[in-house]
Amino acid sequence: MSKTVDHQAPVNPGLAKAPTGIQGLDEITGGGLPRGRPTLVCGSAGCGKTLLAMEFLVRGATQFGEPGVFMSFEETTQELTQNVRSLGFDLDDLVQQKKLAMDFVRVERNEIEETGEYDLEGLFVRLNFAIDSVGAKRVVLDTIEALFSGLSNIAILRGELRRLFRWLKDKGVTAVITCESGEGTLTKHSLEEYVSDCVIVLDHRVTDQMSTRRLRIVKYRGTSHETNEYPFLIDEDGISVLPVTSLGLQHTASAERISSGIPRLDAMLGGEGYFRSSTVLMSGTAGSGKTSIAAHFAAAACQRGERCLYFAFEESPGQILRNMRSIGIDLEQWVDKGLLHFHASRAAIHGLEMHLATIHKLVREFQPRVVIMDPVGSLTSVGTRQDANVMLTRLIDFLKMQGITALLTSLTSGDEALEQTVVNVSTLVDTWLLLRDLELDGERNRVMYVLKSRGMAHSNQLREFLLTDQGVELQNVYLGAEGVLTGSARQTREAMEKAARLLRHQEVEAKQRERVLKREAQEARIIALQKEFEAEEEVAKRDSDQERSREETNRQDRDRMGISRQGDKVLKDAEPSARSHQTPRVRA
Amino acid sequence: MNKFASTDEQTAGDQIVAIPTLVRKLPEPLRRIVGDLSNTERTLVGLQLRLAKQEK
Repeated sequence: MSKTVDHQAPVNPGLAKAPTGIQGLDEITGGGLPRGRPTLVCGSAGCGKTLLAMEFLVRGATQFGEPGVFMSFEETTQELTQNVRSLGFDLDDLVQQKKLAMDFVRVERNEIEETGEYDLEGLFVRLNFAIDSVGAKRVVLDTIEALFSGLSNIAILRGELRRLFRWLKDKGVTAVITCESGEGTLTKHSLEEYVSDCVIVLDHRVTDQMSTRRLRIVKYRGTSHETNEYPFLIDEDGISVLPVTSLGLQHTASAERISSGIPRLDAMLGGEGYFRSSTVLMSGTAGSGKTSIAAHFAAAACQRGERCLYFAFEESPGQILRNMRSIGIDLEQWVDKGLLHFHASRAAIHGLEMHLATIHKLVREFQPRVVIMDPVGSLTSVGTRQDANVMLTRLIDFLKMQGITALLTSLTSGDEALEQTVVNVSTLVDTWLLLRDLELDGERNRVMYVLKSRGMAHSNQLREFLLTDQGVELQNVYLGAEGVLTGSARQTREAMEKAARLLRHQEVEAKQRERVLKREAQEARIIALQKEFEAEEEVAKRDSDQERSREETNRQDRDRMGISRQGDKVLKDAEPSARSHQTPRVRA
Repeated sequence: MNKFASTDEQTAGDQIVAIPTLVRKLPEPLRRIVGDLSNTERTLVGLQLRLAKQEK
């Protein structure tokens, strides 16, 4: 036991706290109820006082090793045991294990006759016995004010109750005292005058036919605590308080990017997709393809091996699976593999808090990396817009702190401005995709654009997309005189461009062919010129040969003439043949 | 301290809260006379030895 106490050591060393084990309550009280002191829990009938007290005891006995005593003034032991069995608390078992002692104190006005001075020592004796029998550290007095209806001497009662609370403190037990709330005062008999360490008020309100339970810590001496009203609910696991403390902006921002499941949409989002643990809002008119894009995202998450939780508020899982199969997205395989979990419920079946708590619970159980809510706007049908806003703010913060990427879809009705979501969450989200229908040339075509995306360079283009057999496909952008061309106008334009491209292609080919021919012709001409040149060279060579032979002949003639004249000796440059021809002549 | 509720179990079994308490178990119905019996009139009424109407 002491181990658990050490483990739960409070931040403030001056005030030890006893953890309640009730989900969320320990968070807002900063560790639990004041240890060794009485705590007052007040509220009107049926607001969950007894249950809160009982859970405090049961959790103490089972989780923190602190046995407890439940002293009831209104319900018998059997009744109590039956009542909490539905929450999984087996009181009989705890009693047998000596972890819990229960005592029903019956004070019936018609049985009692007051005949003078008395005190409540009997109560003390019984309580003392019960505490000692199990070594209790925790005590619950459930609606001690029942004494006031049984006994009429108020002066004695008040004095004795004061003594009781003092005695509980001296005993060192952590006590929870429940009482009815009164008109204008916290409790009907102003017990808050005696129990001043910690006062918790429970409330059960019905707004728009939806009931909401709320809890508020009015007073907690010696410790800082949250003073807001917190919604809480009672389900099969007992009480869970939803701390609005999670309304924080401390979440770390991840730089990791994850694909939206549509490559060309990723390209629009700076080329890489959404930021991990960011919140994406997708708003659009009816039938603009929100669920399809959400399904792409879910499939992409599962493909990465991440778990995805899909909250469907308007369609059943089977319906979504069937519809997505028709556009080529097979979500069923991921459901089978346990990566995708659908939670389908009509928004109107619960109050907002119940939804929030369900979401919290499922997220904690399933541990998804991606959460899809389709559509969040339907939650406004449950509460007021303001409530829905508060709830979504809480939800978004909660998901962000868990590092979960959330995709919310929101339906924009025709009479509203497109940039207005049903729930005003636009300022909370990081990325906002707007889907809309463009009516042009008697057609309705789907377009999308990125309205905002924090922290990334994103496309500013309006993109048409089609729901094909392979899912959502973003189309090329064609700008016409009236803006983006969509549908058949785009197709016409595409066809025109294709034709023009073909024509251009053919022209280019023709030109190329022409060029080849031209080159061939030029080459032929070059060859002809070369031939001509060669021919001329031939002629020139022949001419010079003729010239040389003519000169030779001339010289020979000259020599011959010289010999015949017996003139000069043979010219030095004379031909050898001429010389040899000469010599015999000289000798002769 | 008191002669009526001597043991712990007895206080629980007889549904004793206030001290002193005198319990009339028989004849039925059960009556608890709480207090020091200083008001004789009320004690007698409580024990149903006298009718409450005669008290006035």
